[in-house]
Amino acid sequence: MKGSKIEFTATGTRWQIDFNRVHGEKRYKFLESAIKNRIDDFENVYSRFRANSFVSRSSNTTGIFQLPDDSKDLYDFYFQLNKLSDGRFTPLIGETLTVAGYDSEHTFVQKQALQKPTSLNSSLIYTFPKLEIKKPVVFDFGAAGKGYIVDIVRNLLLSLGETDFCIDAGGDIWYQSNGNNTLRVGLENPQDPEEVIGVIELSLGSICGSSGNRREWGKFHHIINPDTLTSPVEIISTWVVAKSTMVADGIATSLFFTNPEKLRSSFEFEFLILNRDFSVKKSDNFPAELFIKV
Amino acid sequence: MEEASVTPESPKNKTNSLTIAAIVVLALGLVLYYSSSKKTVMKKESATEETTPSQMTVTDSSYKDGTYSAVGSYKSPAGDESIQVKLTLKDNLVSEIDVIGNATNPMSIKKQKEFTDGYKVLVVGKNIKDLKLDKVSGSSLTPKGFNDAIEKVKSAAKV
Repeated sequence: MKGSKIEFTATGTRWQIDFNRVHGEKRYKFLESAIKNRIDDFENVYSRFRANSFVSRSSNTTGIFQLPDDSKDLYDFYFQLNKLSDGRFTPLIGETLTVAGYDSEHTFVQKQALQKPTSLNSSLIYTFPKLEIKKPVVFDFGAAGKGYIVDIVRNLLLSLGETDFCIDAGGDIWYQSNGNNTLRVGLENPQDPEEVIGVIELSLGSICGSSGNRREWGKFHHIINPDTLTSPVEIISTWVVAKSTMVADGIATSLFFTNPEKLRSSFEFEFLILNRDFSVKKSDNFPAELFIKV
Repeated sequence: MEEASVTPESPKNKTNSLTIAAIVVLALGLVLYYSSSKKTVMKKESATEETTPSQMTVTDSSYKDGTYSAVGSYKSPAGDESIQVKLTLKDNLVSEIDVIGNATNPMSIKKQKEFTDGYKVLVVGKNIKDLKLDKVSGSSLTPKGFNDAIEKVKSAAKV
């Protein structure tokens, strides 16, 4: 895009927000600090990697907690997706990931035999804005949290009168434009970051991808199937296009272990799944041009 | 077109003959497209029209964008059947491919379904530098701290 660009590091990744127009210095500084402050507030609540966050404080303890005002969409989404995936998509994967080595110190050394996370309903009673934690658990909102903060930043920009912009939080992308512009997004080849296996044209909405290869240690990557306590290997990448970045982000992870049609019964999205043999499965309206081997 | 008039001798060969028929169809759609003779192209047709090789013309040295469709016929024990291949070309690359079974006989329908279900579209990578892209979407970009930590773990593991 031709206009201003705001870049910074947050939520453990690089953010880039592009605008179609050029802002004056005062407006630019105002937008920059509004965005950064909002993300900082978010991390203070949801980051498993911040000791004082709500997520850290409510981990390994019990009791009744008052949830933050903005958390309804995220908790609703996790509970709904948990049900649809027969419990495999769960915010309680935090403990499993930690024991496997994806901890706040980033040791990547497995600590002990992995335990299946407890089921959501046996550990928690959720009636917004209250969350009763019956058994101590370790939360991890990594599977949809980043998408959710992109949605929040998008709404913030809209409320500040911006209408033509692209938010890219380390590859979780929201795009909207005033005119007929589209964003050309390459679908990265998980085996070669210099290559893409296709291109999508995005006019309004979000695209998120998930690949096992990028955060890999030992026999694990950042997605662990709670049933088998292993990282999926047949599917190597997924991409999801949706009207919400939280949905695109969370569904991209869920596709590693949940039937797409089942997910589509509850959420609106288009998807592409790349298997280990480079065969693909996609929904009919996934807006991609693929580079097909013949 | 070259009809795949392979008549199976025993039922267990049916899948094979179907596969051969389909390969012929694929061959007509794809081999021509990737043929080393760059002079040969398929005539551009609309998505709904069906072409046969007789309609193919030699006109240009590159391929026109569009949707091409072709039907291959074969004889099954129950009679004549056909299977259709539809493919979309964009910028000299296949951007979409579909195999559609047209069978009428129940056994042929079953066999064609087995084929179309088992048929896999395979993708390949293309260098980012050759494309005009605004963004690339993969896994969420690996956080720097994560990469650094992984490198440490890797080098520690080597000792």
